[in-house]
Amino acid sequence: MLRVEGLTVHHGPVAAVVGLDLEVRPGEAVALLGANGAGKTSTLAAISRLVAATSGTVRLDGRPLGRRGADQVARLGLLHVPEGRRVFSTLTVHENLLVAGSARGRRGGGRRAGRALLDEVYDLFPMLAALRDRPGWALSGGEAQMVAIGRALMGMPRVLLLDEPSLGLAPTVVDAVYAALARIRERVPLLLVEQDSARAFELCDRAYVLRSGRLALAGTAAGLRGTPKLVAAYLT
Amino acid sequence: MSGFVTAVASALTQGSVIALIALGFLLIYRATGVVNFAQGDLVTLGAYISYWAYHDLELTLLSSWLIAVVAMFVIGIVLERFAYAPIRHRSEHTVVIATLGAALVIRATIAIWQDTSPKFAPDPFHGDVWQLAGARVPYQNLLVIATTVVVVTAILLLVGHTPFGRSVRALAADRAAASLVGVRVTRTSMLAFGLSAALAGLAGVLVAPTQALTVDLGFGPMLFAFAAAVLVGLGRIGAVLLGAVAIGFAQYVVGRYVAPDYREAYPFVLMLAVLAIRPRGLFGEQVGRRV
Amino acid sequence: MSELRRSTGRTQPAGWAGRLLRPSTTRSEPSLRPTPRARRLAAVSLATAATLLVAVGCSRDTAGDDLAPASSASPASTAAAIAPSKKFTLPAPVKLVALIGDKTNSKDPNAINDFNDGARLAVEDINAVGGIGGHPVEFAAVDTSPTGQDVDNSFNLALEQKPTALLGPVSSTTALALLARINQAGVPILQNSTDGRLATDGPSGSPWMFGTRPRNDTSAQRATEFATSVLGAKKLGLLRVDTAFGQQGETGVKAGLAGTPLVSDKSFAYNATDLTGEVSSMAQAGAQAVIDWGTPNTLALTVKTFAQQGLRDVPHIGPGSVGFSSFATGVGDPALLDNVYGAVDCNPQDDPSRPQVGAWFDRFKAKYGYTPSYGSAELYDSVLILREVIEKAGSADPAAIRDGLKSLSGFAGICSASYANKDGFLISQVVMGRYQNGVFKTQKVYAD
Repeated sequence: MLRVEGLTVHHGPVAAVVGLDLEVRPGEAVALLGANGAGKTSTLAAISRLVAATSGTVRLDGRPLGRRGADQVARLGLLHVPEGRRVFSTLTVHENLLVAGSARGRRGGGRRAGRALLDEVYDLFPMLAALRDRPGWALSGGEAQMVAIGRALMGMPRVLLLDEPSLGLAPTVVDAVYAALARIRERVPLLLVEQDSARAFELCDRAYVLRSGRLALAGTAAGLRGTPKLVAAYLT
Repeated sequence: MSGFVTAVASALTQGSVIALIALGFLLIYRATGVVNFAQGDLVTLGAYISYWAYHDLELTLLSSWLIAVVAMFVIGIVLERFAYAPIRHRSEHTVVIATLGAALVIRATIAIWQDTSPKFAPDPFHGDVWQLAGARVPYQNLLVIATTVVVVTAILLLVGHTPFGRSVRALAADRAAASLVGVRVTRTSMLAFGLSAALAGLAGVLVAPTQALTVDLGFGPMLFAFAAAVLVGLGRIGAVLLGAVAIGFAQYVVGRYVAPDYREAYPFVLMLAVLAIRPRGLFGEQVGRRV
Repeated sequence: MSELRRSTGRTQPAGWAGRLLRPSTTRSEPSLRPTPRARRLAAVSLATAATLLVAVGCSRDTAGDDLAPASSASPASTAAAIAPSKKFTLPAPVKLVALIGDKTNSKDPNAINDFNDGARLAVEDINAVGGIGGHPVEFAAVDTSPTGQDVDNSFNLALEQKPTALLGPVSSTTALALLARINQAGVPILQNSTDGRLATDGPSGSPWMFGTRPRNDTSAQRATEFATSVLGAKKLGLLRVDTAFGQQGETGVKAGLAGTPLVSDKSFAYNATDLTGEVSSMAQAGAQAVIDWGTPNTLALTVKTFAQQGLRDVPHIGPGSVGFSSFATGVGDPALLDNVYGAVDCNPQDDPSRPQVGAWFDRFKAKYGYTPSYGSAELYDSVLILREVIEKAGSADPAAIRDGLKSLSGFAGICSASYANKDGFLISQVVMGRYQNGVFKTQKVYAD
């Protein structure tokens, strides 16, 4: 589904990610773990073309993304829910969802498909329906996270990249977010960046662990969960 | 009384022209993050295209206006493709300088094409005036005001309630996030430049008959439009109308009674005064966040 | 209408480009597009096209020009246009350098050849009768613009040619910027601006500099006298641009009032775009004539505003720029100009009192293919004045020329019948003209 080969990303002179290979197969949820500054966010940003990679190839369904820009990559169905939600503050909740329909591009049919998707999102996050006309700047962190995820769903993702969806949220809100993600992963492959490894292992099939931009460990969630000390060593 | 009416008419006309230019200015700024300093010269170019279509192609006045506005839409897209798109990943300063360069090219081209001696652009009313309380207000000025009200309303609806408008607002709120949700960055930026140039062209064909048509036609109003946009905080598109009218009043109503010799400076005095009290402009809660 | 545009278009190079794009004339130069890159090509093509246009339009123009004296019977080549040169010998040829760009070499897209062609015609006339001091006179033109380093560069280029005397510049800004260089170089210069500050006694005067246009304040004074004595205005209004030009105009107007009240005096920025308030206040104050000392742009604006405010029957009197043919072309509707007057230096196309001016006008037009402006006449006169001064002194020494210019008096030229030095300005004639059917007609000549 999604295949990353030899990905290297620099921030100025500093290498954030070096020679990373990873893969997300159909029907799979994959976690990308690591300590602060290990290169997780840079990896996602390079995959979605938010930042330019120094080298490496990203393939979606076997086809390299080439020199496409972030918006074109999104329209191919590779959707990235960025760190910090990044909800459009001047748009209402509903408009945030509508504008994200652009990502369906030529794949995703007309008005009817859009309306159906909207219903699905409001069904997935019932509390958003009440907030329909609230502007982005007036949302709480949890509400904003739901909008950010719902926004990505509006683009009919073929692979969903999620960056720290639990960051800064109250535990009950995190529960709600992960409940929704559990439903989403039944239909969409996920690549999840998460600090909270317990949550990640619960949701995901496999995990990659990064350390200083390089792949340190890889394995099934069950296997890695069985070696908590090892994992902990890399996550601090 | 008639003097006051004259001053108010001048203020509203000036405010309308400024609003049209500022609107174009803001559309590009919100869609691309670029301050387009070619906006004023696009105004001038629109006026000259209609002058040329009227005098040299011998079209009717209204079709010459229409041709000019349509041509300006195309020119806006060309400007986006050749002056903006190739360098949009460079620093903002580079892009702003490039728009200044485009402005100079447009101006020089006009000067060579039509020379710099002043021209008279006709108006459809043959200079007729509306007599109101002893003042003589040219119908053309009323047309400028009325057209602006209609066009500003249309643009507000466009930006508020269409996919294009949502794209522009999303890009303005967070460019990176907008591209992550697939907003068509290139198409939106081309459309914004096209619309913005068409608005400039409209301002040009409307304002030229109220004064002399020269290569400086749009430059002064562009600076005022910039002041209007900054005055209200480069933020909401609707608010800029208020800023534009405020500047028109500062220039012609205040300027009529207080030190008229300095009235061309009043818009900037007003802008600086507002910025001193509210650094983000009157309605500018957005500015600080975006930077 | 189309005739007006065609005949006046010839003095405006850039205007042709637009005209060439008209369907009727496109065929002669189908590939011409006036982009900056193609400017030089355009200039050459324009010259070609101009010749064509002249050939086509000439007969019609002269037929419609009821003022052209019937002197075309004798071709210029058979009779000398000017008195023969005095026989004496100079060690080297007289070299004149004009600090004025031509269409072909100027950075200014609106450069016109009027000035230099006047000088060229004079040089040719002089050389046809033996040159000066046994040598043909040499002439060169150097482009100048008033911005920064350009002024200095062009002055250096001019000095490298070791000029006997300099002509131009036409802009007062350039002349003011060159002041120190002129004093240092010690070369006589016949400049072509009206700025009174350049008077010998003025704040920016130089013993080497002599003006060949009437002073701005003198023109404004004559305009005022004309308004009261000829037009019979009992109350005057004044509109003026808030620059040195407008201030000098105000000084001149106040000097010419002679007791007539100035009921309204309004100044405005050179880039003003709406002068409704100013113009209507003229009417409210009861002004019976308005002196309007503005730039071509503000004048175009006030002409329009006068019409809109219902003031077409109030005489509206501007400075020399009103007399430019491009001004009339821009206005388009001749009716707007019906009551517009201008204070120009001279009006070679309508000078019925002096037949020699008509003959010169015809020769110039036949040779260069366009209507000469007063600038053409002034540059022509400048070269002949220099010949007169050099011949009288028997020397082309800079100081001798300077002293000769200083004591110049009673020289009969084309622009003025009597040139005489008055505080660094060689001409004080002002001609009041008025537009009639779009043509600028002489109303009164103030000889000095």
